[in-house]
Amino acid sequence: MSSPNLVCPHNRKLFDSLGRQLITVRVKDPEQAFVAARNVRESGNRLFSVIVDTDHSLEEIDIPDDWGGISVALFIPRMGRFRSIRRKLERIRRMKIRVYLPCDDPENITSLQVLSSVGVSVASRIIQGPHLWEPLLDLMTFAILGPAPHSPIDPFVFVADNFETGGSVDWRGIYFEDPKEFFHLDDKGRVALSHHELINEDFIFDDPSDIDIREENPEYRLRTDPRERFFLTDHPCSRCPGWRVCMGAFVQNGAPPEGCSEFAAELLEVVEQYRGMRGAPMEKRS
Amino acid sequence: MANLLLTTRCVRSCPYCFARKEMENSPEGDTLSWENLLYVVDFLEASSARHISLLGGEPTLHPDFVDIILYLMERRFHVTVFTSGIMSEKKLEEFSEHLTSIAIENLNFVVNVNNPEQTPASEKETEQLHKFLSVMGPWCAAGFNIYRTDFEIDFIFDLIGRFGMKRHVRFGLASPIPGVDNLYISPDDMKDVAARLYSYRPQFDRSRVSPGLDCGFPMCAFTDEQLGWLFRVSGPVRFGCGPAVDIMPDLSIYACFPLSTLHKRSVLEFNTLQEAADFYMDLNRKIRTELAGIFDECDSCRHREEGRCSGGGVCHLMNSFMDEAPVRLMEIESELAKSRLSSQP
Amino acid sequence: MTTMIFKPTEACNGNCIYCDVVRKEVTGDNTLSLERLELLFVRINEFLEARPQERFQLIWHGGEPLILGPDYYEKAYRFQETHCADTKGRISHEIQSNMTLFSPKFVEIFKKLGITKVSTSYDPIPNIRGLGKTIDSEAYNKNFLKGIRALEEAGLNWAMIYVVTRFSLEKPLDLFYFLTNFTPDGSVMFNPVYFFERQPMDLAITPDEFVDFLGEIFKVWWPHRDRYPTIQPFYSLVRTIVEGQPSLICGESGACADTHISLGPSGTLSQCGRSSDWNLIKLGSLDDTTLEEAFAAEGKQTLRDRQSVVCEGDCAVCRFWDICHGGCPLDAMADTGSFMNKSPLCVVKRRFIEEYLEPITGVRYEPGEKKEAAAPSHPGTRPPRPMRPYMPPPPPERITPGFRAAVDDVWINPIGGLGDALMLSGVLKAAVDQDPKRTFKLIARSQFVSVFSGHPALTEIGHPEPGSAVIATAYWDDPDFRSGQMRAFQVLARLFGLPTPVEERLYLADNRGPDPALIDRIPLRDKNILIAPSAGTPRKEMPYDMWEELVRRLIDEGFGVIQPGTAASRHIRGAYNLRGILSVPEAARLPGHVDAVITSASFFMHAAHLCGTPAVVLWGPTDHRQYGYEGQAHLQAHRTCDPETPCIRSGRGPGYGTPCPMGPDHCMRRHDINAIFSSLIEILEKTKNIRRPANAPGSRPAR
Repeated sequence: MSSPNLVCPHNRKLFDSLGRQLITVRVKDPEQAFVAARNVRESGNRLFSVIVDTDHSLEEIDIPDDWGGISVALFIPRMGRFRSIRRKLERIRRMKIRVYLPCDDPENITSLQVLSSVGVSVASRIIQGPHLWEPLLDLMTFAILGPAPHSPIDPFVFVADNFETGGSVDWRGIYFEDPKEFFHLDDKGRVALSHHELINEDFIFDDPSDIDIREENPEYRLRTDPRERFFLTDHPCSRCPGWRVCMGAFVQNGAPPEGCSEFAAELLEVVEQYRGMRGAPMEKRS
Repeated sequence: MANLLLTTRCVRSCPYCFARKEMENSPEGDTLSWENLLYVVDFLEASSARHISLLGGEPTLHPDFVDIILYLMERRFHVTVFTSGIMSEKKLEEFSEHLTSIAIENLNFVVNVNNPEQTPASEKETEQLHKFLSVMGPWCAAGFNIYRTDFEIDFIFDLIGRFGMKRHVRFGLASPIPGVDNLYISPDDMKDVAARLYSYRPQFDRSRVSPGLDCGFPMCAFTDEQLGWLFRVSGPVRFGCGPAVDIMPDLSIYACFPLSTLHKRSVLEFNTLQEAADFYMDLNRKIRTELAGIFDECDSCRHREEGRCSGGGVCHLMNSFMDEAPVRLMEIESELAKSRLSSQP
Repeated sequence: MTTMIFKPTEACNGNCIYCDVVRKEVTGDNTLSLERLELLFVRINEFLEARPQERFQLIWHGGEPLILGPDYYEKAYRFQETHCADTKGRISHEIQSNMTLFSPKFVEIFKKLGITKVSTSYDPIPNIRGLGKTIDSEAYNKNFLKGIRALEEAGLNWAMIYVVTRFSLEKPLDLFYFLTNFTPDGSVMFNPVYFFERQPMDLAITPDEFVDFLGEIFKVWWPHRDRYPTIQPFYSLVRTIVEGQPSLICGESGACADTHISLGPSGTLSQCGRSSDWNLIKLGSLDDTTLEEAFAAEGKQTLRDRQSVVCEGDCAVCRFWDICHGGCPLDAMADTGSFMNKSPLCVVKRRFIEEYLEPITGVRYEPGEKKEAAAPSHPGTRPPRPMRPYMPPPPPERITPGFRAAVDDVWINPIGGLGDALMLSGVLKAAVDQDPKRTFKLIARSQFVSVFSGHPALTEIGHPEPGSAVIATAYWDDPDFRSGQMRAFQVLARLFGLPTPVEERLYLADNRGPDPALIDRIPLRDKNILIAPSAGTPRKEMPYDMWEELVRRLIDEGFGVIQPGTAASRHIRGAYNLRGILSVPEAARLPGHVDAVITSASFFMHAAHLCGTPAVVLWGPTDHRQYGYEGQAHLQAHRTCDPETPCIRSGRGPGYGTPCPMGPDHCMRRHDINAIFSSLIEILEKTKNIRRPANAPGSRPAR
């Protein structure tokens, strides 16, 4: 059982109440990122990352100097014009920043490729819809097989680097959404298993201390054991050829979105092609 | 080096334009998408190419032109832009704001200039050109297309001095487009063109401007004295003929503008730029097995045989097949027939 | 290797609808007694002692073997330890279980017995496998998963055997993906439900149906066989047929009589697990029959004899004999009533190979030939490129030139820049004017030749022989210069024996000036200014954006602007470009054609003085008091760095060619455009009414 990572709002009192935990703090204002990081550290907890979830484009925000000492997950709605972000690139590359863009718009998918090609680590927010599968397939192929050097585009590179034949890869942790590891708290310390559930106040625990005994909770076990969730119920995901590189990550509200199976199957094909080209051992040693 | 067309739209209608057919055949306002740009850049990088030329139509008309340049800089490419220099105030402001901090070694403009008297332009266009040069002059070299034997180029030296342009002029020969009635320099007139160019030697020497020759010039158009001078001021001169490998906004490719309708392929069919170039080189070779060069003398010319001269442009050779019965190689005849250019009934 | 299907019990907590054991009529004991369990290991030991090379595989089977509880296995282990002390290294244990009874209590004994993997079965189709009489598959599945989880948490593994029933036929691929997704490593073995009399026909499948079921899956499996390496029967068939490495199961090998045996709960020895379930081919009782005797029993011999009968009978012309051997004799018996016929399931093998395996793999099975299959290829594979992380290129290295100076007499070694050369030229002229016999030789250095050609003080510009006396002109090493007490010109003058102070007049023998044709091209205005931004070192240069602002101001105020310089220098937009096209003497005379010069502390400051043209000079790291000429306007920006740092104060150190480390705070950025312009106006005002004598040095030629 890995140690829990608590995704918290920027609330010093909450930090103080937790004590020696691994914390990811979520802010909306980029200017608040460093302050939030400092508060986490000063409260005796360990800082994992700061999520800056802003409504402004990369063009519109400044990258402050004080981000240099922290790991930042920058969630933005769009990139903006290249001419305006160009001067920020060197700074972004130098710092530990990963830029997250939604994939609801072909322009954003192109922006991911643009940023990756100039050395910025990026992640495509592919779990949420609407899903533009064709452009996403192109992006995925570029991310894994693109011939020119570029920075990682996740989750694709994560899958490519971690997949082994006979194994499986759960990449939701890139989005801080893996319930085996990440727990989303509100200001009152109530716990949800995803940001979406947090917003909808769909809590699994009322108190952070319940996280320590989570394995005893049947609902938690159901959420974290994909076999019970998908295979015993004969869920459509259990019969997907791409299961091992997806594990039901796309499922929202119980059903997989149309087209995700073909996408996951293609992802698996590309990953295998990549691993074959790279000469990495494919067999999992049992 | 690869040539990438950003758009097929143009701001001028030069009488000698040998890209006209391609531009006319392209969808209205066909511009390069970012997806295709990214593909091409990766393709070139994987081909170990670090230099890219941007063409059109008028490439600066692309709405994201400045962003594209900055992106190519970020990808560590050297860029040459072939432009008329005619653009709006707004575009020029963007240039001034974003491009003038780029090192001159990394970004070049070849400004295709026309003689104001022989090929008159509107006052507005001339003003726009001068404004462009006043901002981007140091990044620019002049380009001049020769389509008449009595061409005059004094104005170019003036532009170089006034606007701090590079001391180099790229001379192109207007080429025939097989099947199209356009203005071009015929092989018979090439010696006159060489002589005319050489007559400007005092100005070239005084201003320390070097002339550069684009493809298609045959070596024998120049006397030994002319060649000697060219060598002294410009270094080794290449009397070659392509392929240039032009990439359209939709990723289709062809050997060069005059031959744009023949053997059009797609970038997606090739793994590297060299593969594409080899493909067209091979086609050129096949054409030249039919006719070695633009003059009869090319057949037995040692300079052609030894690789110092290509024997003039392939476009002239294809042009000469136009009025024949279909007697050439299949590769040639099938393409001519596809374009409905063959005389075969 | 000898394989024993060991059924210590036929009791089961499950109720799978296709199970033969469930329907079997129970005769005798349902569970093997501990006495017989112990005897078993005695028998195994004596069997192995008689066959020193042999290995023995004990497959625990049932019923449900876990129903016996961990103690039973513990006892088996102790019996093995006691009775097989010398042979236990050749005994391996495996187990087939429905996993619904597995718990952590079994873990330790499994590990002791060397059991690391459990073979099990599962079916996603409801009501095929169940617990209790009602075949409750939901309860079954939950318990199954609980058992699997416990197994995995203990670090043990499991593999899947899937029993193909009529209900499985509808969507073979869905099943395939489900099962390969479900198992830990994607492996599955497909076994058909045999269609003999005892099976309900609504459950059993025909051989053809099984072939087509497998065929649908094989089409997907073959191009992805690296992804699902151990799907049976494909793996064995491919190894045997395509790769030429025979991998035959018991019923195909034709040698099952010599490799397999089974033991039931009542101690009855039989040919194999199926024969035990069907009460066929009994070989005796464990109580009074050794294993050796069992292998020699009549039933076994019948099976051995079968090979030659079938080979010359039913299978005489079949090309698959080597990989089939007439199939399982029990199938033959069930179908025809005799062991001496081929198995009716031969159609499965033959049809599958001929209709699916051979066309899809492109390999035809030829008995006795070894082949290798092509590695799976991916269409459209690009030439492989190693993935590497993005890395910007390293910054260019800066190389700084250095100079050496030698001090001696007679040959002059001119060092420094063109401005220094002009000063030296002036000093030498003063020297020869004072004493015409004082002449010198000058070491030829390309950049200075044009400055000194025709100089009256020089008898030769050339190359000194070894041993010649040489004087270097590194005035900056002079202590009086370094301390700021003496000007550069004066130090040079003193170096050549002139009594200081001397009048600072420059000299250039070449009086010709720029080509008139060039000058005529310049669009001169009423008043024209020469600008000279370059200075030989970036540390003495005002930033280019400031120069451009100055030029814009000059043009707006009606001045023409001309910029000479080297070809490598940067053009200031708005200025007329003469960079790179003037010789040194032409450039030196150019100020004579303009009204004023605005320059950094460089050659053109000296050239302006030579021509008698007013100049505004912009200073930073160097001091105008040591270089600047009287009558010029000197704007001195004070250094922003530590005064103790050398910069370029005392000559050309290693940092000379490098940009100022102060970056945006560079002293040259502190100049003020308005101040420069005002100085210009002031100096123009001062000189506008002064007529320059026609023969004065640097006089401007008439236009």
